[in-house]
Amino acid sequence: MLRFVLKRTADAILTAFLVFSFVFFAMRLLPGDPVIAMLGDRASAETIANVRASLGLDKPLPVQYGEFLWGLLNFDLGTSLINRASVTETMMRNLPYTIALTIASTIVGIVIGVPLGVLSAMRAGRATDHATRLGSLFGSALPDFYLGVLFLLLFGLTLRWFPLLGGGDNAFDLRYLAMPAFTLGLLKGFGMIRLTRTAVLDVAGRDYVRTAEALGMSRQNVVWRHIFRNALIPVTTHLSLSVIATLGGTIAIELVFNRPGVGQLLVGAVTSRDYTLIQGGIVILSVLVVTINFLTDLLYAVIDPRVRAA
Amino acid sequence: MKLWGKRLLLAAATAMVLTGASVAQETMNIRLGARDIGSIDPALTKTGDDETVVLQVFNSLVTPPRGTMDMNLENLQPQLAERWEISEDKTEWTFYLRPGVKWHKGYGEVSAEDVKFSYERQMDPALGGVHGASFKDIESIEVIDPLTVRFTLKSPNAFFHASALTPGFGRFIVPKKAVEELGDQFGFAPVGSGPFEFVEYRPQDRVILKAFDDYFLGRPPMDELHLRYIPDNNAATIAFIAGELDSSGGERTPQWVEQIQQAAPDANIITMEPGSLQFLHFNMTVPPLDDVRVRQAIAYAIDRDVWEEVFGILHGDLTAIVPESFYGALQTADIPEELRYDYNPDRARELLAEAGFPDGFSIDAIISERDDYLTNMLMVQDMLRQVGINVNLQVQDHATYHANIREDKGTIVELSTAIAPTAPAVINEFLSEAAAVGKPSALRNFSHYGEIGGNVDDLVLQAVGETDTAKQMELLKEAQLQILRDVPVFPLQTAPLVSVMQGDIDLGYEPISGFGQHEFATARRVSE
Repeated sequence: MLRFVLKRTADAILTAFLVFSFVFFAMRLLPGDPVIAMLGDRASAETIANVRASLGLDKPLPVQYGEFLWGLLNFDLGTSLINRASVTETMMRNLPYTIALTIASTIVGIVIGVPLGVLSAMRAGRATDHATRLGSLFGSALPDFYLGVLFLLLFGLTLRWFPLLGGGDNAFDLRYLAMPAFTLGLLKGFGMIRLTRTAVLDVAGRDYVRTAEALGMSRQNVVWRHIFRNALIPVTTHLSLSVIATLGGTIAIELVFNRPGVGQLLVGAVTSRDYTLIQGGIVILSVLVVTINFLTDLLYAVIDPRVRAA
Repeated sequence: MKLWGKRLLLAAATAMVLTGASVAQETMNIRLGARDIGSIDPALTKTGDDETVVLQVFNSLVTPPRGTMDMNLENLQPQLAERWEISEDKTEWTFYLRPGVKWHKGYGEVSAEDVKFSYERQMDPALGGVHGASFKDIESIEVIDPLTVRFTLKSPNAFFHASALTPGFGRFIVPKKAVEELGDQFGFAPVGSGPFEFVEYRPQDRVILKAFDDYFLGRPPMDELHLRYIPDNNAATIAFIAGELDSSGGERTPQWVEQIQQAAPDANIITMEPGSLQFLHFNMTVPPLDDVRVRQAIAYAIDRDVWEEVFGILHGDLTAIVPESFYGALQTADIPEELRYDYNPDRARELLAEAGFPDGFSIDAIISERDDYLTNMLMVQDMLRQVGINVNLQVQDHATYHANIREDKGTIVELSTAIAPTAPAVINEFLSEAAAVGKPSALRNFSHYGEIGGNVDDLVLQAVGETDTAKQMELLKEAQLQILRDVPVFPLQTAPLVSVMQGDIDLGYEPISGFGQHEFATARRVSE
């Protein structure tokens, strides 16, 4: 197990380094310029040159790259090119909102998706199954921003159950979290229903399940010990991917509910070519993603002893 | 008995008003469309939303009549300066400051030293602000006494007030002591002399300002302003309809206006002229745009009436490059028939044939994906196709587009932009030789006018230094007619800025023209 952990840690560090370097150069290869984006379209060529120099953007690329790596080693992600706010602080202010949304929506997704998926599989071919599958198919086709606006109109504007704007002072404030988490969770749930159903059906057809049944094990025992546990493996993979996607990509939900979060922060940073904020943001996110992958791998090892041996 | 009853009622009403006023905290929620603060140091503002905050916190030396951009020197109003003297040749501008104007947070009183500092810090390129270019005419600033300051200009300039003294774009007075003490922090927690003082900045959420009790024009009726960062238009519209916002900028689409009119019938929709100037630059270094007949053909092929039909109240006429409401603008009535370029596709085809393109031609062009750019360009593309001109559009993101046109990669370049409201400001920025792209002094002249295809720099320079108003107007008129003859640009329209305010808010003045920022010094809530 220790060797497994060490190997995965080394992989994780290498992956993170490659991501940082890629982002650093990719951003600078993009056309567009942070100074023009920042100064609006009013500045003269002279002013643009001055500001570029004052931000250190006129230095050769390798020098900038070196400074970036040196900063990383010192845990210094620099300040935003646009408003000179600390990148670490800005990210750390937004990250809790994203994490809260990720956790809450994932829980909603699991609570909706897994039981319905199992139910659908157990009743495969019957009316319940058809209804669930149709419902989940329809649901997955809904765009998140559309569902979000619908919720906003219904629960926010008409019923006035939840505040319309913002994320609250505390990222985990349920009044502000409820609508976005439910929107996103519902969509996750729809996907999870179909995935769970397929996984359960797949396992249910395996030889060892038939053997267990032939040996006269109780139905409940077969379902929970043999089918469900094995079906969890693809479901866990899907969950970790879904968590990763939510960490970086809930831009639409954040915008619709005007909720702080890293998604809209980074999209804004790309639009304004705020190199330092993008780099810093990606560094923090990729560390998080690599950690989640690492934890998922460990979790596999716990769920499935075969992985440990590999 | 009757009399007593009336008196009692009156007393009761008075008591209610008094207690009501002292108990209820009046807060106004104002939407800002940006994601976050750029800087609210007036010298370093980045967005129109930064300007909105700054306008509540700071003052300028002088101001146009409230709610307007009237830059006629005779209509100039006092603000921090209570009076002024301008030398005969318009090179020395002396301002006498209002005594006893207090800075927020106990930073003392506004002095001539502060005025000098406010300008000089921006004239230093090391500061990294964009507004410094507006002050390049200043030779020196002299403190005569604590309440008197004199600007000496490099050359006579009758428009100095419009480019350097009235509110907006860095032309605010800041307290020297506070700027020096607070350093970078001044951009997040500024100190001014205006109607509202800074209380708190919550990143990506809001800026909170409170009424300044010692404001020299009287304490504002609103106790607090919450200026809230809400980038998404849908979110803001829903919040406005729900009453969570008192004021919000709007989308410049007729659909949005209709939506608000239906969902919030009491709300006031405010449009402010001229908003953005939208026009095409023809890059005259790129054939066949170097041929004036081709440029004229394009002008004749575009039907500007369509913009009026499509945009309704969100449209303003722009026949020549300077909007009619700007000081020194050529009035449409003074434009001879043949220079108005009214829609005439037949004439366009004739001109194309004369220029050697009887079957039209194809040209590549880049354009920003931003609505105000792309929509116009698609309309133009469609109209030009009718006369045989095929524009191959490449759509780019906004930052990329702006970087590219500054590298002279544009052919037919569209702009949608605000600018100081005078004729010389418009011409100097978009059509002077010095402003041509590629020069170190480049501003936004993407046509290279002045370098090639004609030049009106001398006419404008004379006009700016001219002390006789009638002569000055004549010179500016000639310059604008010459531009119409040479067609380095083709004006499409002005797009007024639109905002919406709850029906129970009274701004205390009528907003007619401006850059889209409202000033809330006299805003109050009225019972309906």
